[in-house]
Order: sequence, then C-alpha cells, then structure tokens
Amino acid sequence: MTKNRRTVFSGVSAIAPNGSTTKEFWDATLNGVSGIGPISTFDASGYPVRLAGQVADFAPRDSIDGRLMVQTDRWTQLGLVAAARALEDAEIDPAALDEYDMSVITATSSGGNEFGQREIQKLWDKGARYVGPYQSIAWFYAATTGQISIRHGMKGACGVLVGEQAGGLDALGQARRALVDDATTVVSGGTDAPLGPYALACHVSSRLLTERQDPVRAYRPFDAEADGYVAGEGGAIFILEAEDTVRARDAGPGYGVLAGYAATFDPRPGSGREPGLRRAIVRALADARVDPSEVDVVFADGLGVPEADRAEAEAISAVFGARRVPVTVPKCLVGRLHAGGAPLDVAMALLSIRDSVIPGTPSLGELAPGIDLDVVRETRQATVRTALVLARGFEGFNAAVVIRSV
Amino acid sequence: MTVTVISLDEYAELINRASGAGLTADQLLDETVSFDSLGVDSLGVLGVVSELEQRYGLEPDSGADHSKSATALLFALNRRLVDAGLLTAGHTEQSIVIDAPYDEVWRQTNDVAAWPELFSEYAKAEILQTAENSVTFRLSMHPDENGTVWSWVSERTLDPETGTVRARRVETGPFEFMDIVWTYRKVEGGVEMRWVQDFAMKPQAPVDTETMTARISTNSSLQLALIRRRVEERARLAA
Amino acid sequence: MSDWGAVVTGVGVVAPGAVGRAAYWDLLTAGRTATRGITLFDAAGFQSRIAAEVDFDPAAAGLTPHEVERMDRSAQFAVVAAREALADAGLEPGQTDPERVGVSIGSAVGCTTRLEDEYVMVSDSGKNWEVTPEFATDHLYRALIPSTLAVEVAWTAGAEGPTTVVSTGCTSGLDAVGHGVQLISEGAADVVIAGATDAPISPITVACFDAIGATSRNNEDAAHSSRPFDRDRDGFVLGEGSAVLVLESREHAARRGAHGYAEIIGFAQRSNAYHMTGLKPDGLDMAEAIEIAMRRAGITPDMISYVNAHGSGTAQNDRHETAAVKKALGEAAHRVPVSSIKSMIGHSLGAIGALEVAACALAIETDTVPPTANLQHQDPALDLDYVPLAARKNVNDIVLSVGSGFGGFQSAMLLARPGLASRK
Repeated sequence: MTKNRRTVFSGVSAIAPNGSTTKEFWDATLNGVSGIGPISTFDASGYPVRLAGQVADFAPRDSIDGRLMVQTDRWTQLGLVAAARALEDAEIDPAALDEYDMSVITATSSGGNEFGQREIQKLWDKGARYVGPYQSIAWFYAATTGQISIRHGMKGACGVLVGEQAGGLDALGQARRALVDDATTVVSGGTDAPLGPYALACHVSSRLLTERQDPVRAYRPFDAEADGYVAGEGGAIFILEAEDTVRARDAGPGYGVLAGYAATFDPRPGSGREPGLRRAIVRALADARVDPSEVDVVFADGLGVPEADRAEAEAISAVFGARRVPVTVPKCLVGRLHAGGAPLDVAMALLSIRDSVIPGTPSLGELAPGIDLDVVRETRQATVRTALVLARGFEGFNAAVVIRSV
Repeated sequence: MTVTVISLDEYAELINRASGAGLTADQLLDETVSFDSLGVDSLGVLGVVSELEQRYGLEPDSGADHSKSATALLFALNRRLVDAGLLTAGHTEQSIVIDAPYDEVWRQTNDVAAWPELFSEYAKAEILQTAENSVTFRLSMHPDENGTVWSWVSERTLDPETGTVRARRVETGPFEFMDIVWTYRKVEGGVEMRWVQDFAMKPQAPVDTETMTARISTNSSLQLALIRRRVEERARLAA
Repeated sequence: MSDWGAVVTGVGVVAPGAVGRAAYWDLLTAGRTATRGITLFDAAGFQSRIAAEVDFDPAAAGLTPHEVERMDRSAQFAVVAAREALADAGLEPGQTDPERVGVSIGSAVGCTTRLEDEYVMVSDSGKNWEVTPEFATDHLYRALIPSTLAVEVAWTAGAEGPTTVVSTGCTSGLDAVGHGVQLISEGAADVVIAGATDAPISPITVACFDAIGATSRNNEDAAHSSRPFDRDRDGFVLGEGSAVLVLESREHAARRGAHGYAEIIGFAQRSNAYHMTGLKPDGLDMAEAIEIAMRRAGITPDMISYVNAHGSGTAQNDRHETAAVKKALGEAAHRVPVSSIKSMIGHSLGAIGALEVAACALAIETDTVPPTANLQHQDPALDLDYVPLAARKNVNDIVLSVGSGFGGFQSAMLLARPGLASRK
C-alpha cells in the first residue's frame, strides 16, 4: 500500500561539523574539507579519545527563543534549527496546514546527554533539590520530536526511533508509513550531540573509537589502517510529503523520492549465520523495484573498524558484484553522527542527485585487504538517479534506503 | 541571621536564568503581569521557585507555589523568609543605585507633592504643612483588591547635610508605629538610596506584622526599581 | 473490521508485586497495590519516596551472571518477560524463519539506572565535569544507547527481522506494540516480539519528577498513594517493569494453531502540540486518537466493553482523559467500565503501555475488568464508571487502552476477542 504514492523529499536541512548549513556542509564536503578536530568544549586531555566532529556554530540563539533554549539539550536545538530550515526550504508554512496532517518522526541514539549530565551532577554534587524542572523533559529520547511538534503545531502521529546509527533510516521508513493515511507532511530525520564529557566516556567504553590524534588520518573507513571511528554531532532533518501533496501545492518537484526502505537485524553473535546487511540491501532494492545495476552510488555505513568494514564490503559485493558500483563514505569528514549520521548521508544522496556529483572519501589511502569495492576517493561529476544509503547500529541493526530522482 | 530582600534586577535575572525569558526589571513593574504573559510556563515558574529557594537556603515548599504573577510569587517568597526568620518581622531594609546626579535624586525623591507621579502605589499626596526641612502630608493609595483606600498622615524631616530623611506616621492607622529612614550616598554608578523601615501592626489590623513585612519588602523592590527608572529618565531629559 | 492487525499469542510480564503473567493477573484482579517506600536506593532527602518496585532476583529469573553484568535492570526485565512470552506462545527459536521475526521494544528512559550508577563512579560522585573514562565498565556504551534493549530481546528471540526501540516517553509501550502490529500488517514480519520496559527508580529520575511536583508525596501511606480518579490523589507513583508480547499475523498464528489471547485491531497516535507536560482539559487530541483507532478498526463506540485508562493519578490527567473518553465514545462512555491499573503497579513510564496492553489481553481472555484500587472518594468533577476497588466480571469483546505522555503524545489501541473480526 505504500507503493502507489511516492514519498518525496521536499525540504532538506543538514547541520554538520564541516558546515552548519546545508550549503556550507555540501560545499565543504565536495571540497574534502574535514570538520574533525580536537575536542574543544571540555578538557579531554584525560581521555584516550581527543578528536571529534563538532558543529562549530549553528547559532541556535538566533532562531530559538531563550525560553526554549533553557529547556532543551543541544541535540534538540540541532533538531529544532534543522526542522525550521527544512520547512523553509520546502516552502511550507505549518500554520497554513491542518495540524493533524503534520507528523514529526525523529531518531536519536542517546538523547539529551549534556543537559542530563549537568542535572545529574547537581543531584550528586549538591542534592536532589538542585535538579531543575526541565530535566524531566529535556534529556529523554522523545524531547526533540515533542519540541518540534509543539513549536510548529504538528498534531499528527509522532514518533521516535532508536537504533543507534541505523535509527536515522528507520525514522524515514516510519515517515513513509505515516504518509500512507496518517499525514500529508512529515518532519523526519535525526540529530545527535553526544560529545559531552560523560557521553564521550560512554562511547570510549565501546572500544570502537580511534585513539589517533591526527584529524586527517583518524577515521578511515575501508582503509588498511582503519582502527576505529571518530564520534561527531549534527544530522539532517527533512520534509517528506506524498507526491500528490507536493504537486498540489506547486512547490517544485522536490529533491528526490524515498523509493525503498528495509531494516534487518544481525543474527546472535556466535550463530555463524550471515550478518543482516545484505538482506537489508536486497529488500530495500526490491521495495524500490530497483535492479542493482540501476544504482549509481552507495553511501556506505563505513564504521572504520576492520572487521565491520570487511563485512560491509562483502554485503555490497554480494549484491552488486565486486567493484561494480561506486561506493563512498564522505562521513569520514565529519565522524559518525549516530542517529544523525544516516540522515546526513541521505541529504548527500539527494544533493548528489540534484548536482550530478558524487562526493568522495578523501581519508582513503590503501584499501584494506579483502575489501573489493570501488571507493570514490575524490569528488567526481556523475549523473545520479538512484542512490543507496546504508546504516548499521551498534550490535546488529541494519537499515537501507533507496533514494531516486523525482 | 537575616538576608537581603531580592531586588527587582536580581529577580529578573533569576527568572531569566531559570526560564530563559530574557526579561528586564522594567517588565516586572506591573504587579498584575502574569508569568504566562511573560512567556514563562508552569515548569519555568517551578524553576524560579527552586532558584529562589536555593538562593535563600529554604526547604522546598511541598505545597509548591503556583503563583500566576511574578509579584505574587515574590510576596510568597518574602513571607516564607519572614516565617523562616530570615527577614525580621517589623523591619525592612532595601536600597537601589540610581544613575543620576545626587542633587537631582535628592530633589525628585523628596518632592512629596509629586509622589503620585514617582511611585505607582500612591493616588494622592496632600501637603498639610511645610516648614524648613520638614513636611506633613496625607498619602492615599490606589484602592486595593477589596476596594479599600488606605490613607495616612506622615511627617518627614530632611537633613541635607548628612543626606538623611526621617519620617514617622502621625496618624498611624492600622500601624502601632511606622518609622522610616532614607539615606543617600554617592557610590560608583550613581547615588545609592536606602530605605529602612521599622514598624509594628496593631492587633486589630487586617494583616499582621509578618505579612506586612513581606508586603513592604515586595513593594519596595518594585517601587525602588520604578523610582530609579523615572528619576533617571527625568534626569536625562533635564540634562 | 480491517485487515490491519495481529494476534497476541504470548504474554510475558515483570511487574511490581508480580514476576510472571499469572502472578500479575492475580495481583490486578485482587486489587492489591504494589506501591511502597523506595528500597532500591536511600530516598531520604527526596520529596516523593514512594515507588512500585519489582522484587526481582535476576538469577532466580534465569539470567546468567554475564547477562546481569552486561544488562541494565530494564534490559533484564525485558529479557525475562520476552522469554516468558516466547514460552507462552510455544514459539521455539528456529520454528519461524528468523528473518520474518521482528522486535519492537518501547522505553521512555532506557538504561538510566546503569547510566547513573556508572556516572557516580566516573565522576567521583558528581565532583568532576570531566570524568575518568577508565573507571567505566566495558558495558557503559550499552547503557548510553537504549537500542540495546531491542538487541537483547532480538537475541533472546533469535529475531533477524526489523528491530527497533520506540521511545515516545510515556506512550512508548503502546506505540511499540502498535509499531509491531504495523510491521506485521505491512508484511515486513510474520512475528514481532513487542513490548516495553523501564526501570526508572533511580535518584535522577525520582529527583526530576520531584522538581515538577508530578509524583505523589503521600509518603506516610505509600500503599495507597496511587489514587487515580480519587479526590485525594496527589500525583503519580513511579513504577518499573516490563511486558513483552508475541504478536503474530493471523495467518501465521492460525497455521500453527496458536492460542490467541486477543487481536490488536486498531491503533492511532496524535500529539497535542501544546506543552511538553501540560494537558488541556478538553482532551480533544486524545479523543482524536481514539476516534481514528475506532475508524481504522471499523468499530463503533457501543462495541467497546472496557477502557483501560491512562489514569496516572494527577488531577490534570484525570480531567483530560475523562473528557477525551466522553468526546470519543459519546453516550457509550457512561456505560463502559474505565479503570486504571496504575493504582496498583504505579506508572512505569514507557513500560506501562505494554503492561496495560498485556492487562487488556488478559481482560479479554478472562472476561474480567481489573479495578481502580484506592478509589475511595471519586473526584466529583469526574463522572464515568471507574471500577472502584474490586474487579468485575464483564464480557470483554473489545477493549480500548489509552496513553498520554510528556511531549504531548496521545495514543489509543483497540484489542478484540480472537476471531471476533471474522465472525462479524
């Protein structure tokens, strides 16, 4: 039932470490400008990990009222700013639409970390009564969706999905479901900002982060020297609409279509069964009714952990054949943004279609042994009609979306 | 132990810290202004209460205060401070720094006939008798929420040498007594005007001394901020 | 009735006062309360010192030391509930193609308890803003990201289909089950292990509700402190626990001759876009969710036999919800029993919605309506039948469960006696 009405991306807003607006991010990405650098928001000298992809300045105070600022974590502020810009980009005035026809569906990986740390510190350092009233609404995973819904008067079915890095694609899948008979307009995507002192310590415990200190050589998906990833913050928020809605309001064709989506989960560790990523790809392509040969580019998950890189390469090669499809991981310029990461990849896919260009993977030196992929190193001109975006979440989540030109 | 009554500037700053509302003291001068109209939601008000409690080390009030207006909340706080013994019943002390020339501050704030234009609480000031450096007058307030017009006769004695004004109520009304001392001194940033009031209520008065202490403390915060604004404005115009 | 739906073929519960489905239903139908003074940590210095706690012995519940070490309490609850649900459904791992088994787990606050415990270790009890990462355990990242709750359930069930955590605050449980039914209805899975879990009884969560005065301070009478619809209510009582259901497509359940407790036949969500915690007394947005759920299920208000209320125990909720039920059900609202099991097991945030759906399934199975405990003096402003104190026999063909939560989310789910859809 989801196949008869195409789901169109009519608004895009990206906020990333190498560019705090869509245009700045896209220009930087095409030019291979990295947003990874030494952690600047706190003293990380006692941490084994010293690099992160930090959003330098997205000027939340310019567009978010002080009253909303005090009750929101940075992750929600990223979502609020991006949502407002995406609406503007889509030329939508929410006040002019039926409030029950608008939904908000976002993903987060870890919620309001820095806000939560401030309040929990007050509790343990000073006492229970020092915890402020906004803790109850700022750190929990639903805060961003709730605040966007309230800010723009959107009363349709709202949602929040959590699946670490894969959750960002699950949110888009859910947005497409909502457009079937729940909503005409969905604000969807994901942001995260897990770079506070405690959240980063939590990340360190996963042992998946690189301890390298050279920003250029730190996060190197598919590279022979890959030894982990760099954590980042930011993400992307989109406006998704049913195609007939976009047409009816005479707003241009939109950036692209969410043509296919699928999610799978890896077998239990030690089962010996094949990981689920290949199945996710196959199902998403089938859902989109796209043959592998039609795919112009794959935005890979690119964890930057050797074993995971190999597994991903195997899944891609199993579907497309070895070196048969251009694969790119421009997120090497910004780090992994958790629930914001895959939406940022989707933003890149949409902009690649618009501009007939494939952003590169400038961190790549030598491909790791056993990785038989055509990784796009330098940004190149190419017609992109169909893009596949892959995402994996910690301990087994897999998701894939197929983005096509309108 | 006693504490200093919060000034309207500090109160505005505290509200901003708790709620992000971005207010100035001027926006709090209207006693009827509700938190709602200031854009401070119920959680923001709880944050304000909590910040106030922290500032004064008060135990959290389990019958949490859901005052609708900023002034009502300030009054409730001052009342709790009196009850906790942190403000002395029958004694209030507050000051403000006015950025204007000393003579201008002295002149404007001692022009009793013009007080209805200086304070927001007085409807009428009738000069009954004047002498060199002293004045006897009747003040009438605006009707209160019950329609009662409070009115009394006071006598003020000015000592320009020391920058001191003493006043006492001649016709004391519900008060046992009410003695007021205003002092003026030049400080960094202008002139500090300090009000010290000592009083007690009659047993048959409609409010007790504790409540009146909270009421005067609250009102003084507002009136001082208002007087500062008006004196500074007039001084600027005169300059 | 529409094709949208799934059959509940397994129910697993870890609840305050009752680990296990049978004990749970005993507790609810006896009208016993599981609220008490907090024992999980020293709550002196907090204003609300009451909670509905699970007496949970992980080893007795079948968890290995390694599982206990890697899992937050909320994950432990979910795994134990999932195992019971799978056993109840008679669904052996491997019986169904793992790729056709999905997981949808709701949680409002994820692994907060573990996150807080470890925070205390790495920050020297809150003294340091920059913490000491080497004091953390190997499993700390698993506590930061609540997606691990779904991971553990997927591993328990051997699921390899669509797997996610749904985290919409206090409607997470209803929304996660609704998402599970959706996955089945759209053909993405034949079986979904769906439910919710939360273990929020930790200092930071108790403190944050203290800060907004949302929780009951009736510390002197903890056993009777959760009083939905009662004039003497003074806030909700924090709870914890998990309920996990095995959902199957009607075909899949029929093919293997599975016992169905109930079918989920309708679901809708709406938001109030009003305030993160405030509710308007008109209840219009919750009413809208109920009306749409009924429309999707193809039923009319007079067909509803029982309403499982959100009934959190705040005056604001009681008025909002009562207005919503009256608006959506019209005249029928005054004939249908409405009860809140939070009066007995407290409000376990995201978990409660799944615990309530489990209670609805059992209500249909046993034709019994659980009561609203502690309802001694009904708030005179409320005028529905809130089933005070004692359970009631009732022919429960179709039941409605509603939820309302921070963020403004309102959800409504309809369950029906199995086979009812095809008989009509």
